[in-house]
Amino acid sequence: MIKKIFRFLGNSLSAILKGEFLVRLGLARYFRQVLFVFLMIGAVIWASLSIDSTLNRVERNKKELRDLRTLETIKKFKLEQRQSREMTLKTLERMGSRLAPAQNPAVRLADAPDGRTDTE
Amino acid sequence: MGKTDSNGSYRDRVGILLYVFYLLMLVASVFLIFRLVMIQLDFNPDPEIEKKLTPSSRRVKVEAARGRILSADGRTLAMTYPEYTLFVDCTVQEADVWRDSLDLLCRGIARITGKETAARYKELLTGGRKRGSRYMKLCEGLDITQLYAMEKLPIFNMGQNCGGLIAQTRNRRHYPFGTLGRRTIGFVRDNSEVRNRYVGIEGKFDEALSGTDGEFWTEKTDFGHVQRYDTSFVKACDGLDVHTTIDIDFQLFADKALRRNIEEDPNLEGGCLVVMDVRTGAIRAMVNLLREKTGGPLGEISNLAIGRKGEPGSVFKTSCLMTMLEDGHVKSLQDRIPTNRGVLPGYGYEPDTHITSYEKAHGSSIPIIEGFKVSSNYMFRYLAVKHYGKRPKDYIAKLKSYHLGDAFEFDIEGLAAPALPNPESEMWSRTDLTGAATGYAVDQTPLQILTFYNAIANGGRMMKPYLVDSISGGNRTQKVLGPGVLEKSICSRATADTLVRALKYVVEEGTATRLRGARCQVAGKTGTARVALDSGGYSNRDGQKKYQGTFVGFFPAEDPQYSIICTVYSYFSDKVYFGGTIPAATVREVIDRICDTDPYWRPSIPEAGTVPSMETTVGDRVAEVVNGEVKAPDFQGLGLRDAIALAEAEGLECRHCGTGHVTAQEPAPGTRLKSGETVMIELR
Repeated sequence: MIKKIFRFLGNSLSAILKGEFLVRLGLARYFRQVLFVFLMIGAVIWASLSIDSTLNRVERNKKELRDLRTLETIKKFKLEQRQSREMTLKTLERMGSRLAPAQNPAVRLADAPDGRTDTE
Repeated sequence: MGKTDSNGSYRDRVGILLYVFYLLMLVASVFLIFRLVMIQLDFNPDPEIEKKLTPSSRRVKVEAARGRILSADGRTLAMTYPEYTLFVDCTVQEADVWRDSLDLLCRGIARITGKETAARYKELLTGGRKRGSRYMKLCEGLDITQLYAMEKLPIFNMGQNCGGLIAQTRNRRHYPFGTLGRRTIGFVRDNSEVRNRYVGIEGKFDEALSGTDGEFWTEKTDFGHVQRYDTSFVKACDGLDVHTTIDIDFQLFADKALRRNIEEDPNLEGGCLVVMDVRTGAIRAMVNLLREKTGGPLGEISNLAIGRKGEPGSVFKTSCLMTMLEDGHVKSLQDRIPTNRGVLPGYGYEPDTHITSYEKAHGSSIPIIEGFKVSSNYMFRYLAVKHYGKRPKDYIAKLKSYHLGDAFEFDIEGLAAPALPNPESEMWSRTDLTGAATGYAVDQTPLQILTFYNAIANGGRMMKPYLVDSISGGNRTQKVLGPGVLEKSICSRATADTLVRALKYVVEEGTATRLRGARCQVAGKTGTARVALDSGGYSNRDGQKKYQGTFVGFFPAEDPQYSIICTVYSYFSDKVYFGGTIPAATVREVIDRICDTDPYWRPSIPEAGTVPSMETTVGDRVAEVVNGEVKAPDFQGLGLRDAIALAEAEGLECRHCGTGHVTAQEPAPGTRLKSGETVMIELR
């Protein structure tokens, strides 16, 4: 029994050293599958590195989005400021405009009392 | 061609090389497997190396975005965005880069920040480099556009490791409309030692505005830190937006008017002004201006409208009149009471000079409306004593039924509880009844007085004042707060109508005539109260007094849309600050501006109709020339061109104002004029 084990180990070692291990196991006909496994392992490693790279890009994009949102908020803030009545009046004054706030409310158009329109 | 060895195996060079390569790989893999096994079984790495090689994780807190506070028309009153503080590591830059680009850098910093000069920044950076400072504060309060600009400057554009620029971010609250309504909008103080940390809408709705912070873990990869998407991820919930009832234009009108009227007078400590929608109780404007110290500038530093309670004075007399009308002691405003030389027997009050003047001119009785018009203290004391002298409890109960003794729940903290005298108290004296009738011996805030007058304008229905309409988040309304009713009817419709008539009379003929020429008809009451000292009495050692002048009312009187109150507070002075002067003038300014802009006051013209035909032609209107003089033509109804043509045809100059058709002219048609004289026409 022990002799058999030692013979097996010896044969295995010589097969490995000669580069014939898989062939002696009869795996030559599964060469395509073995190659596929190696390719899959390579693909997994490559995918893992790509995922890391993509996740980092995601983080950078998130920061970019945060900064853009901040920029949008600041622009909204400045727009609100400029839309204020006081700021509008100051801007007009600075531009030398004679435009002033209305002294009377705007006239609104109501429906004609007898329903007539311009085309009638 | 390869060689054949002794066994007959075919060998070539490529085969040998592949075999050698295979052997090397075999040895390497054996070694790797051996190392893997050894590492698993028995390996204690160097702590330093272990630390450097172990991917680091760190916990990142995600601050929830604080919700906005919005005005009634959706404009933003308060919002949050980050600000940046910049630090510099002064040791990382290369010496030649530093030497060549420092001036350019400092000029750029000065241009971007606009706070210090380039020379100052150069001094700062040079000093930091000499000291070897690795974290020197450069400037703060920058926004993201300024940060981007900084990152493009020489030296800083080399990144943190070579340029030394470090940016620290912190979220800060910003207010697009500056200090307008700031006390009402409020703030939250981080300082836990201060008593009043939660101020205004920001404070009251802090929980809704804050949202919930989130967190996640990151791990270091070859490309940098990435987020871990696992169960440790807690999503941040942004704060909700609070929609207020404030109309920012009304707020601006009120702020400007109040400032203009009280800023220049150093004797005035401050003032407040509130505008409320009559039908709903929505507060459209709330201005609180106070000087921090005598002679200092006015600022929104304390909410006087809700927090400062005091004796309101004559504005409280309306509650007495309401009680008399409701209980039938006064049937109409024409009811008369004896004048009695303005003296209420047994009470020791000074004679009421309004009554003595009236008595001299009109006799020994005075109608209620006249006494109300001049705000006679005698009249209200007389009514109170006559009808409730023996049962003051009933009178006070009536005041309580108007919610003048209740503090109601309000949308911001700090609403002071009003106070009415208690007839069952040991402190009660009979002068408390006469005081309550005239606005003394009671404590009210301006908002409580306004709520009462708003109910009169609303036909007796007392609406609860409110500032917040709804709360929304994610473009969806989460909660609607909206109007509430304090009391369905504090008085009958007839009583309310009578009071409106009386209040209109005060403006037309009484103490509030400053409002007579306002853009619409106003009804209201003035009040001038001396402010009681904590130590008792009303005067200081120099005999000076503090005053609280108030005007409260509503407009337009015939169909009230808004109610308004303005109260000003003085320091000790010799001058009296009447409610009919500064408060009335301020209210008038505000009303005029509101009438200019509010859609309610927009006149309307039909969209379509028939233009009426002109009965006369221009030629028919030619003036008659007599002795070198002409009679002024009739320009009525003409358009501008026709009017000018007509005037010039007769050798007259024409000046005009307005647009539309001629509605008035000066001089009148038919007046004799010399050639070359001017006629003035007004178009509408």
